[in-house]
Amino acid sequence: MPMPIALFYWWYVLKPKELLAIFEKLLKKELSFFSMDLLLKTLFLPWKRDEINTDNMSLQDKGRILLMNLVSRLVGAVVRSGTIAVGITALIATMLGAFVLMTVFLALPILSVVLIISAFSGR
Amino acid sequence: MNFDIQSAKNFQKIKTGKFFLGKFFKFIYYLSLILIVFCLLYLMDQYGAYYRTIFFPIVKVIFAFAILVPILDRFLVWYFTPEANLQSDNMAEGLSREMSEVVIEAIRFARENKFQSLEPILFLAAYEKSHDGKYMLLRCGFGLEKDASALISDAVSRISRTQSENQPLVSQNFVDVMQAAKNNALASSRNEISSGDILVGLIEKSDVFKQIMFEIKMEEADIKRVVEWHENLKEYSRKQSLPFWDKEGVGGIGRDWSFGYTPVLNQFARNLNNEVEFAGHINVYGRSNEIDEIERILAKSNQNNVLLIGEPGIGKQTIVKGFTERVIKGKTLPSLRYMQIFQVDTGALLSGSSESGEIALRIRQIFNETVRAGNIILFFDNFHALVSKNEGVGQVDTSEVILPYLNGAVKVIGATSLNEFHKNIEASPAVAAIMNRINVQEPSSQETVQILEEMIPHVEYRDQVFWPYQSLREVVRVCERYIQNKPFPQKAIEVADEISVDVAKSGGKIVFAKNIDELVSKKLEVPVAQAEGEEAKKLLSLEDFLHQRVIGQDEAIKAVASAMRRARAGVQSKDRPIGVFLFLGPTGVGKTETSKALAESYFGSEKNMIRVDMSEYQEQSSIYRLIGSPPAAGAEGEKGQLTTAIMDSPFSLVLLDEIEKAHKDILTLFLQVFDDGRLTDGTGRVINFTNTIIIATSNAGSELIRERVMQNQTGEALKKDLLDFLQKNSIFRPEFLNRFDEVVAFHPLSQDQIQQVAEFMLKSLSKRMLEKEITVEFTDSAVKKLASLGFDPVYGARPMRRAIQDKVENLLANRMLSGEIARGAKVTIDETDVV
Repeated sequence: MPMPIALFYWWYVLKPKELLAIFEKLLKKELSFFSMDLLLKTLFLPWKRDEINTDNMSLQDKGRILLMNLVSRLVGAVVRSGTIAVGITALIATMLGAFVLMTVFLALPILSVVLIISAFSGR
Repeated sequence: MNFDIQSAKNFQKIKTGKFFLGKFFKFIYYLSLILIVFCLLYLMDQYGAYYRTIFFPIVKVIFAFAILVPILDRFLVWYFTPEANLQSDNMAEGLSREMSEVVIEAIRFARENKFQSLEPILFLAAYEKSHDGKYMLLRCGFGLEKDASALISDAVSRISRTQSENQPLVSQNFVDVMQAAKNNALASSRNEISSGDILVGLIEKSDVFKQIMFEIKMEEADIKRVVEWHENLKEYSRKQSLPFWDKEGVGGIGRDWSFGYTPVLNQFARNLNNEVEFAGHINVYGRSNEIDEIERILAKSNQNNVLLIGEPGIGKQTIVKGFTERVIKGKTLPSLRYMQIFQVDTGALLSGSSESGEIALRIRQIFNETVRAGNIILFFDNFHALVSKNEGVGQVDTSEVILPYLNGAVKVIGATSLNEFHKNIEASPAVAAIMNRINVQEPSSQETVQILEEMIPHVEYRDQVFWPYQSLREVVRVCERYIQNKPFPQKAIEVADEISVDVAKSGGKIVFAKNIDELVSKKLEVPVAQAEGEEAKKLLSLEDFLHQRVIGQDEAIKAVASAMRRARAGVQSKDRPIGVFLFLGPTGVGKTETSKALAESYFGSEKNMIRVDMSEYQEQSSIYRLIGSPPAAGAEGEKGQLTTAIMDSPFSLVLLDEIEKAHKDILTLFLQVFDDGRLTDGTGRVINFTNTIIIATSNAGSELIRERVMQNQTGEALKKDLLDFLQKNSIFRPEFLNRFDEVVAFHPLSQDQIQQVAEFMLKSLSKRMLEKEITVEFTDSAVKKLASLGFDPVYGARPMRRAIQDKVENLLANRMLSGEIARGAKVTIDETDVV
């Protein structure tokens, strides 16, 4: 392959492919880190699975404990929902970052050419 | 297939690339990076104030070039990086960049020296250009212990020369080496011919290289192993330096926030996921079947407990770590994703309280937490301690406590030995039934070499020593042959670790095979090195050494000495005892003395002789005294006298005295020992006899020997008659006699030999007296008289010691006490003194 074509192919085909592969891995890593599927599956489970068994309890105690267990589930749901939200935000941020980076990357050679032309044209 | 480096695209790329990828362009690259920063700062700072000034366009141009230069630099690196093509007909196209440079260097060397052809040996001269190649040659021990330069110079001098510096022709042998290297690259699924492949090609096709490697004790299989080892290390380094997005793994914050707390478990257990994740990578060799089996069992809904059974040190923990690694990397069945493996410290769990109730409560808490957490697998090393019927320190029976949890609620991996399984776990049938057994076999010596390969770089870094491959192989050889009380890989790891420290302590930088032999010989008190030098000379004249203690019996001594030479030269089978002999002959002719002399010569001391009086084993029931009895549930079995002695001292001479008196069933037991060098004792352990010399003695046939010797019938004829006699009289069965390496007839002693025995014993007495600074001499007539007094037709020379005690030692003692003999005295004992 002649060198100028090879340069074009390398910068506009090969390198973007590599960058896209890295972005894809980053997104997967984030998904794995936040384990959102797992958080969704366990959304309404008690926080840290901290639940008290109400067997053999008086009705009064049972009511109190059931309330505590409900609170534990609520805490679990809030924390997990929060984590899911943070996870989604992180994913969107990564995608935006990837888009900006990719644009700058592709524009760099053009930018240098524009700079040279503007320098000589006096603008 | 051909090899034409000149027309290869890679070669062209390397030649042109040298200009672009040189130091000048590197300098420009870094300068541009700095300029980018400066230009950016300038443009940002001065944009408003100096707009349209003369400097502004110049800065723009510099900035533009500063952006373009790094892009171009990276592009040129990519463009001029040779791309190997193994499918091309021109094999030079398949070379890696490093190997292309090696070949270019070899061609340059050949031209400079006006060689007519390019020969494979020139690779060695050019390997300076290959970092990997140099490293692998060093691992092969090249240039470390033996100097191969003479061999190389000789081979190089045999290459024909021309008058001018023309391009050398590629020899057929060179092409053959390249073809073999290419085949190896393809077989190893590599996409280029690397320096390791060339080494394999050289060992397969180059006679000179083969000879050099033969000199440093490296064979084809060893070279291939070194190449594989190096590739593994490179792969390990590559994985370690991967960016975080390329590293495998599942879980994270979501996993932590979806499962439960385990405060009590955390006190008594460590999280293996964290440990394995921190270590980066665990290599587990030859255990994929066991790990698959663990995965299958744990993924079940019920009876999802595993019990790994194998001797301590066999690698049960490594298997669990290998399984943990799979979990961490998400390479397991879906039901095991997000699991965390906790190794419970059984000792800590069962200690710190005298109340068994408190321990049971602890265990219940741990299991409850595990159930609640929802993603924990418990691993108990020494699982038997949890269900032991012999309650005591560190052992309790909590089978009733844990049983309800083992039925699907908690996933448990236990590890124990076969002995402990029979003794403790089988005693709790419900627990034994609920655990799925996986028998863990000892790794082979080849797998152990691979395990050592993984360990050695860490040891080298720690002790700042270098391990050539031969030393690694020697560790495994010595451990396999001489250390029987521990399994692989533990024994090899321990020996390698100790030797490395030992060499570093003595200021050495390289661990040679001789260091290993010396250390193991010292520890085991047996010579483990191949017989060389002084020792070889001693072996060749072993008959003389044995004759220093044994008078006459040339035939017996010759047979024994030959067996010894076979053993030390490594000719004999490794799966049999070193030697198995039957000594036949009357009492007092030197059978025991020969055995003692042999123990001294081979094992260093006559103390390394295990003497078993077989007349004590006349009853069939006495077999258990010899080999031990099996353990009953919850109780230890009886230890066997012979098997325990061999376990304690595996390098011994076993003297089975008066073998004919033992019960027939006991003799049958020895058939396996004589044949395979092993015996299963009463407790189920296999006792290794391959490092023993076994000598059975018997008086059976003494009369026949006496008669035949009187008739001057010796040698093979006597042996044949003797064997017929033993079989006809049903003293020994043919299959028993056939198991001996040699059946040796000890002849009755002649009058001359009796006198020599007397002289020998008196010499020993004189030596003892000399220590007290008293010189004692004996006249010939005194020796003769003592010889006749000490000889008995039935007991041979056995009464000799008593005669010398009575007639000489008593005399000397009395005279010393009465003051007749003082320090510095010279005493001559004559016939008249012997009364």
